[in-house]
Amino acid sequence: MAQVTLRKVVKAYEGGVQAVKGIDLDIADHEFVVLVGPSGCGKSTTLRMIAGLEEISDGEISIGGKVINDVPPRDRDIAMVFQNYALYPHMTVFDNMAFGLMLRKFPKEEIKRRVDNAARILDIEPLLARKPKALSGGQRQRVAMGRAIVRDPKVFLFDEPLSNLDAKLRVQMRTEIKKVHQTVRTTTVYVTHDQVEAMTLADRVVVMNHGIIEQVGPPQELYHHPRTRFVAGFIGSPAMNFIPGRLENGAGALRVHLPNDIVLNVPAERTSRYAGQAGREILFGIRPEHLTEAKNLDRPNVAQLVATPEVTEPMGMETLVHFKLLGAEICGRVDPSAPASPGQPLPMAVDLNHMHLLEPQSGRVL
Amino acid sequence: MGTVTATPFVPAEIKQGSLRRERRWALIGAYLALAVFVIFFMVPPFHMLMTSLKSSAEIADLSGNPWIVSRPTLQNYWELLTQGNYLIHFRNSVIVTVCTVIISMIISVMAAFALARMKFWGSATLATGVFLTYLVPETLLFIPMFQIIGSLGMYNNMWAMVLIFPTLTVPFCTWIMIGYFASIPKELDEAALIDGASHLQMLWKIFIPVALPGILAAMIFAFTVSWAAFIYPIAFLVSSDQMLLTVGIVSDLIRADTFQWGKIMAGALMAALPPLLVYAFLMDYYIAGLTAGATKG
Repeated sequence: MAQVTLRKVVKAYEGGVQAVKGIDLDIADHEFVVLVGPSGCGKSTTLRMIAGLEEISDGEISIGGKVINDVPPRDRDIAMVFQNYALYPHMTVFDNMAFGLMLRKFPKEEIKRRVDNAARILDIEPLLARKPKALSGGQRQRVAMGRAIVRDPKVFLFDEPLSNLDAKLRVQMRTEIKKVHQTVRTTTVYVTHDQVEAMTLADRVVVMNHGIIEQVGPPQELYHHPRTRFVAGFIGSPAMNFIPGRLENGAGALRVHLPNDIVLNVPAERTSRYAGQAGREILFGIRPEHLTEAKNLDRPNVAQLVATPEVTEPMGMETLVHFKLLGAEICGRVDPSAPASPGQPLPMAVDLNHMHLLEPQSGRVL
Repeated sequence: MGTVTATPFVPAEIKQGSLRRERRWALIGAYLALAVFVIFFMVPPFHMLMTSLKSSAEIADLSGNPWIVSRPTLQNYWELLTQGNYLIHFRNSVIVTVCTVIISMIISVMAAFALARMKFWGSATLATGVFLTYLVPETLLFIPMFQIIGSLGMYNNMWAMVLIFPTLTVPFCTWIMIGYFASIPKELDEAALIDGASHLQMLWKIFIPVALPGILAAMIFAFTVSWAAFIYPIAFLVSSDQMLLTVGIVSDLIRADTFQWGKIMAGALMAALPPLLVYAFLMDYYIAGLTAGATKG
């Protein structure tokens, strides 16, 4: 069993700067957890503390029920894949993958069996005799993963492994990583700043910001039910739109008053949820895909507004339209066939079934 | 108030192929400068070679052209190799240099690894301190060094040079190695640590092979310093059987005001061969090693 548990883990540097501010996290056996957040949020530091490459200032980390705060990296039974591959340049692919096993004095036959097996999983069998400099970026990353797999560790740690690859290869390798996890089922902690990677790979996503965990949950839960403005804005691409407004009680229904005299009726099933907030300033949040060209307006809880796009971005399967609403930059997703062009008014539909209301000061989703 | 008339800007005519012409002139200039440089530096060895091939009588004959040998002879080389202590001096130099290089490498590689990679209190200051010791001139050091060697009873003993030369080579070798080790990505040691390597295994199995160009550069430096050292050997070694080549040649072949120019030149030329061979084989590594720290983190 290889659960990873973090209890009140703190990382403080000289001068009192805290990179990680007392986080708690439980990672189940076989689980694939992704730590995601912007630069400086503490995600890599957290991973490095699990790896033993950074000392823990306070708190407790355990792997498989055993506290490993003072255990050196080599005795933690972990394997790590680095952003820049960190392959030993003077060794062949085989030796790179076998290095950890040789240091642990595994029999030669066992080393060969494990390396061959990992090479087969990763489809790098023809590369075993090559040196890293003779490999492409994607192949190097596979070798780095192979080096982790052969060890058969309790936990895999990935530190932004795809950041050095081009966009196409990144998508390809993402699938590879998912396949490998489905094959070997090792508990995995994966760090990335790319929320698409986080969403596509993770069983659960941990969103970090300023050294704390903002929210933990399955990707869909984070996407549809963010708890904070940060999570709502960070997860999803393009990001959720936020428009300042006011929640008013009128004519027996709750209404959201937005700039330009736009009034939106809160769906009846949400009335009780927001009842206590009537009369207060709020942030109205809506994802671009719920702000589309005006069609099916007869559906319940769909309102209309007219936008004048400043920029349109044809993406092939959809077109992004960017417009301003009293200073706020708004993005909508429309069908490529919609008559969206800069400067031309475009009737748009707001699907209020998917709206979010947030407290402006705390950023808490109501 | 005068009137200013704006003159429209007319760009100078761009000549076709000017880039190629500029490059040609740059190359011609570079080759000319290099040719002057090579001639300037090859004149002394050429003169040495010519003199070494002359008999004593031809050298003494001032009416002849000093740059031409009229009756070439290998007499000087033969006498050096068969008479006197030249071979003993050569052997002493080889022993002292090999020992110096080995000691310097062991100390400086380990010191550089510790200073570059194992963060400890005062490591940065210590690294600067190591380099500062290199800046202290030999001429200042040799008097206290004389007392130390004297107190160890090693005066007039070539093995004293094995103790002394590393004090000249270790600081600079360490400095070269610190630069080279610092250019090796940090993730490489972290990967090795996670793979299960101890610090010593990391040094031996990862750093030394990866930093081989830097290590070879440091080795060449240590070799050159030790092979060409003059002040310490001449101050500390008096009997011919203990002398190194640099001192042995001038001590044995210059007697009062009698200079055996032919043998001196032959001896010096043969003494220059080992460094020449070392440089010829390892020059690429030497350049890579010296420049690595300068261009990378």
